[in-house]
Amino acid sequence: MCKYFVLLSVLLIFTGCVKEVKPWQKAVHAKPVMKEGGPNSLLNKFEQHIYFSKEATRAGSGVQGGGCGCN
Amino acid sequence: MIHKYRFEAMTTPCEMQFVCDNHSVADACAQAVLKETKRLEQKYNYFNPNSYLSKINNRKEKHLDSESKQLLQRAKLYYNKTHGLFDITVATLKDNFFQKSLKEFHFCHDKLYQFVGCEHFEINKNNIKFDNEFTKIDLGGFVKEYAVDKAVLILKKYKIKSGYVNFGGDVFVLGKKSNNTKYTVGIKNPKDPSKNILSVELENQALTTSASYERNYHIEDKEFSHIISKNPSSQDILSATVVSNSCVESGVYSTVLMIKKIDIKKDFYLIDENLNIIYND
Amino acid sequence: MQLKIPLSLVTASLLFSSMLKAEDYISVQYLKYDESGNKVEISAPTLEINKDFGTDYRLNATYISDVISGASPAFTDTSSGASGSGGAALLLKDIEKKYFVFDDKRDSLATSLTKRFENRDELTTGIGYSRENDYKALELSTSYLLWSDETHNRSYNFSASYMFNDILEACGNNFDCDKSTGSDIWNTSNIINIQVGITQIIDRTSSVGGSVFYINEHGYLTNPNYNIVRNNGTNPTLENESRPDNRDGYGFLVNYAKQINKKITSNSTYRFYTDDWDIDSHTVDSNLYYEYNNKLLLGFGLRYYLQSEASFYNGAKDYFTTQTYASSDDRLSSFHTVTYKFNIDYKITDTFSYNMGLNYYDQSTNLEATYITAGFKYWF
Repeated sequence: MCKYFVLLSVLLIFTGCVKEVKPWQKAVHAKPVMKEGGPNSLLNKFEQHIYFSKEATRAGSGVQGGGCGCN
Repeated sequence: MIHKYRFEAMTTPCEMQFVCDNHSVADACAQAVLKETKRLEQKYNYFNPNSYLSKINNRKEKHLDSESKQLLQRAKLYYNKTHGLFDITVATLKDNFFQKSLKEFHFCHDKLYQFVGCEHFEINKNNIKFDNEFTKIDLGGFVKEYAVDKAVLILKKYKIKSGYVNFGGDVFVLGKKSNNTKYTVGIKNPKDPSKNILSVELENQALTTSASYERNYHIEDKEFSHIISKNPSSQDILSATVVSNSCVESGVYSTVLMIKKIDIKKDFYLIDENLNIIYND
Repeated sequence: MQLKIPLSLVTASLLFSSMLKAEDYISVQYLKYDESGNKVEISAPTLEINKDFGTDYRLNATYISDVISGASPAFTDTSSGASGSGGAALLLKDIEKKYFVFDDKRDSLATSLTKRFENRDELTTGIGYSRENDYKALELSTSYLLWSDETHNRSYNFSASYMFNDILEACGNNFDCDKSTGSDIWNTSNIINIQVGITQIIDRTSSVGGSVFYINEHGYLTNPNYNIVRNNGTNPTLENESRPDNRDGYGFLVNYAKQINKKITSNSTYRFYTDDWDIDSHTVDSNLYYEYNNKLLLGFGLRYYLQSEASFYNGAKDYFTTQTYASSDDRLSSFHTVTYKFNIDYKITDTFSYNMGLNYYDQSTNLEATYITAGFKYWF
C-alpha cells in the first residue's frame, strides 16, 4: 500500500508546479472529450462492463461499476 | 438449457453438448460418460504395457470378458466384410515405424508382414488364441467410436433427447435442437483445419472422418500415414467422412475409404488433393 | 467462450466530472456484441435520463435491457476432421462446462441523485438493481467531490459502494432443480469498493488525475457453471470449480487529458491492479479525439490489457488432484487483450446528436468479439 501513498504524494507535488488557471480560461476543460472516461459516459460504462465480464480485474473505473453475474 | 462439457480422453479432445433442464442430472450424466470413457481408455490402451489389451498382446492374458469378446468378434467381422481393408492387427507392423532408417524399416516390414491379418487369432468360448507370437491387436481405430456409442447409451439412460457427442471428430447426434432444426456437423478442410469445407445435417446418426495427415510417422524423408494397411493407398484422398447409424460402423468405413474407394451403402464424403468433394447421398 | 455476458447496471455518475452547465438530456444507446466462433450474441438497448432541478440537484436514471440469443442456424454445432495438430499428445486448453439459456433477458435500473453545495462541492448517492434469471444484485453507492479552493483547479473525490449479490447455484429453466426441498439454491456475495482520487488542472489545455482504489469481494465467488476434472489419469471426477470466499484487491489509476491543438485532444489512462488471488493487471487505455468541425467528432481508441493468472488456476487437464481451490476458467488465466475502438459523434443541431461506434476486442485466449454501438442524445 505504501507505493500508492507515494503516488498520491508525487501527484500532489507535481500539482504544485501547475499554473493557476482562471475560470474564464477553462473553456477547454469543459469539453466532454477532456472528461476521464471519454465524452460518452454511457458507452464508457458499457465498455467497462464488457471488460469486467471477460477479464479478472473489476475495479478502478469509478465506484458504481454495476452488477454482473460474471463470477 | 444447454449443457456443454469438454475433457480429454484417448489423447483426444472430447466434447459433449445436450439439452437438459436439470443441472445435477446433466452433471451426473457427464460424469458417467467421463468415467466410462476413461475406463475404456485404460482397458484398451495399446501403449500402456499394463493395460488389459497389452496383456493380451504380450500373451499374458487369454481370457476375454464379454465386452472384449464382442469387440473382437465385431472387428473380425469387419475384417471379413471389407476383405481385409479394415484390420485391427496392422499394429503388428506399428513398432516398425520407430525405426531409424528406411533400410531397417523395410527389413522388419518384410519379416512381420506375414503375421498381419485377423486370421491369426481365434476366439473359442471366452478365450483368444493366436497362432504366433508376433501378431498384435490395436483397437485404436475402434474403441474411440465404441466409446461414443456407449456415451450415447448413457445419455439415453439419463433421458437426454437432444444433443451430440464428439470425441475427436467421431460424432453422434441425438435428436434435434431445441428450435426443432437439425444439428449440423462441419467437416474440416484437410488443408486448413481451422475452417469447415462443408457441413452435414444429422439426426440420430453418427459421423466420423478419417484423414491421413494427422498422426503421421516420419522416417528419413518419407512420410507414412498412421493408417497402416497391407494394401497401399490407391488414391489421393485427404479425408473420408462416413455417416451411419453407429459410430463404430462409420469409423470402420471412413478408415477403409481412405485406403480404397469401395462401394458402401452409406452416405460418405471424400475430399481429394484439390479439395474436390466426392460424395454420394 | 464465456457465453454469459450480463450487462446490467450503469449509471452516469463519473468520478471526476465537474458539472458546469445544465445537463438535461435523454440518451438512447444500442449495443450489439458478437463473439466470433461462438453462437451467442447480445443486444442491449439502454435509456438514460439526466435532469437538473435548479442549480443544486441532478437526477440520473439509466435502464438497460439486454437479450442474449443462442445459436444461429448458419453456424455448425460441431465439426469433424483432423485438428491439424500432429502427434499423440493432444492437449486441451481447458476443461469446462457451460450452460446457457436461449433468449435470456436481463434488466437493470440505476438511479443517482447529486446535490451541489454552495461551494460547488457535490454529494452523490445512488441505488441500482439488476436481475437476470440466475443473478440479482443491489448496489448502494455514494461519492463526494471536494474542491480544494474557489479556483476549482484541484478536486478530491471520495467514493464508496456496497453491493449485495445473489447467485443461483443450481437450477433448471423451470426452477425445480432441488428435488429434496423443492427450492432453488441461492448463494450470496458482497462487494465493497472504495476509491479516493485527485484531479488537477495543470494549464489551460491539460489536466491530470490519480486515484487509488480498494475492492473486497466476500461470499460465494465460485462460478456454478464451470467445472474442473480431478485425477484425470487414474480416477477422474467432474466437479464444480471452487474459488476462495474472499478476494482483496487494490490498485491505482492515472489519467492525463490534453488538448494538443484546436482539433485534437488526447485522453489516456493507466491502471494497475493486484489482489490476493495473485492476479496482477495493467491496463493502458489511450484515446484520441478529432473535432473535424463543430458538428463532427471522431474518436480513436486503443486499449491494451495484461493480466497474470490466479494462483488456483490451471488450464491443463491433468493438473488438479487434491487442491482445495481450483478453476479452469480462462478469465483467471494469464493473457493480454487489445481493443480497437472507433466512434463518430455527430451533432445535427445544438440539442440533438447521434453517435455510432465500431469496436474490436481481441483476447489472447482465442476470444474475439466485435461490438457496435449506435445511439442518440437529445437535450431538452
